[in-house]
Amino acid sequence: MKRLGFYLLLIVIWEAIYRLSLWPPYLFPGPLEVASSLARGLADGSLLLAVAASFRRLAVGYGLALAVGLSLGLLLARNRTADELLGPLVSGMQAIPSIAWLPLTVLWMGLSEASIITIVFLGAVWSIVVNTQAGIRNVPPLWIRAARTMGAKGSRLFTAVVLPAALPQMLSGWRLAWAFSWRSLMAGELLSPGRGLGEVLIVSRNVNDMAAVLAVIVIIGVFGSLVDNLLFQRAEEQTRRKWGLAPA
Amino acid sequence: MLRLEGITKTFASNGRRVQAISPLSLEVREGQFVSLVGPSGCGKSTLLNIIAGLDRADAGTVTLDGRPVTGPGVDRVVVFQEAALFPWLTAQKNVEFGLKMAGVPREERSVRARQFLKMVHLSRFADAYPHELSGGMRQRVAIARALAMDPRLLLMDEPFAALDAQTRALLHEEVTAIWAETRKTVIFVTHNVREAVYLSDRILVLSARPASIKQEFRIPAGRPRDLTEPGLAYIEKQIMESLRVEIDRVAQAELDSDWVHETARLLPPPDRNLGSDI
Repeated sequence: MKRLGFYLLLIVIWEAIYRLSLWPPYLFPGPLEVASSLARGLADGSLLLAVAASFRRLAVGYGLALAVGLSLGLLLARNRTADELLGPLVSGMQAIPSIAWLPLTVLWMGLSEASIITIVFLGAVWSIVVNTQAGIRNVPPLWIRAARTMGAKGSRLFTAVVLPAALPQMLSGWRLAWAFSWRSLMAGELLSPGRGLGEVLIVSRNVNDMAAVLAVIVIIGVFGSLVDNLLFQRAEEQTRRKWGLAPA
Repeated sequence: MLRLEGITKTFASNGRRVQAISPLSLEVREGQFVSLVGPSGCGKSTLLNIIAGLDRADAGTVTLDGRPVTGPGVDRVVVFQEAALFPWLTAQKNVEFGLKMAGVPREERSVRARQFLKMVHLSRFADAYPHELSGGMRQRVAIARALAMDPRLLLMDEPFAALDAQTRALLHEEVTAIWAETRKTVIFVTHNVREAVYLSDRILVLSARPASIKQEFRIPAGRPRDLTEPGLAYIEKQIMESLRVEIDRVAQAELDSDWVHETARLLPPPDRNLGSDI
């Protein structure tokens, strides 16, 4: 309730600054204009189409990153040689903003869907690898010893003890990867054409429709944090509560 | 019958080779409660791990009922110092864990887990997660989890060392009662001589590293025991003295060379003031 009031206040301040007419309305639209632009876009379906297109890329890129990241993370956690060879490479890759790959992916795959999905994938995959590996590596040896004396071994030991024990850290890796892939998606969409929220941003800027730009930004913010809140934060919270860890 | 013959173990630490266990042989009859006491770091936990199959001896053999021990097995379950419960499972599911690994069907698993939780008096906490339990309760669940496997041998590695004195005393009575009921063979590692005297049939004092059996004590008293009884107090004192020598050896090796062990003597009362308050 307190929070709601605070945000209402922010909007009122925004409107007040807008009313002062310090800048022309096409540079600094007021909240009502943004809201009506948002409503228009949602009503004629153009924004929804863009959201759908963006989400499709995100889903494919993030899904691939999950599959590859988990398997690579597992490999690095279990195989010492693989870790020695690939470990530094992975942490190096993690330091590269994935959008830096765009010139290359455009050369290789053209200004296509595949090129953006690759960028999303590259944005997400490394933190999944790193956190999967670290999660498995950090499983307390005591639990594994306890499980072994109770007759757990091989793949049973892995699925019944190692995976659940590594889950909290793997979850935070997934969540981080989600944030990264969302950023990568926007950067990719801004720089290469094709349907999507990034395209709406570019087109709106080209026709000087700042209200529409802000409307898209609102949508990006809302969807990004909605998924983060409803999916990842909730899952993290649940494991934390179950494990009795302090809330983050 | 557990039989250890000529067990040795050497560790490499910082490039140096440290002998942890010098040839050690031991026989434990079925149903006996045997405690291993020794100075800290003497290798008693290593010995327990070798019996559990979690560690390998460099030489020598461990046999349980004539079968050689080559790795961890459900006939030898360990209760660790930290309860080592899985935090993502409830108490009930933790107790079921080993049974699940053994492929026991769901209903039977559930019934057996409940039965052993009842034995440690935690039926009400079956659905609690480990973090919702106190240290003593967690150790009770760990004991139930071990007993549910119906092992030939119960190995306990300083299970009560991290608990407060009151909880520990309660658990001593509990373990005595459970042992009397189940008649398991127990190997109990501790550095607490009182605890060992209260619980055990036999107490083996291990020497400082490399560990070997220095002296054996038998406690011919019935249970539950009263440690203030002169006989038991006398045995406790003897064990303490035997152990003291080993603790001093460790201290002499670790502390400054001017350290000497001082035996008890009469200290002047703190209010001795030569009459200056007259």
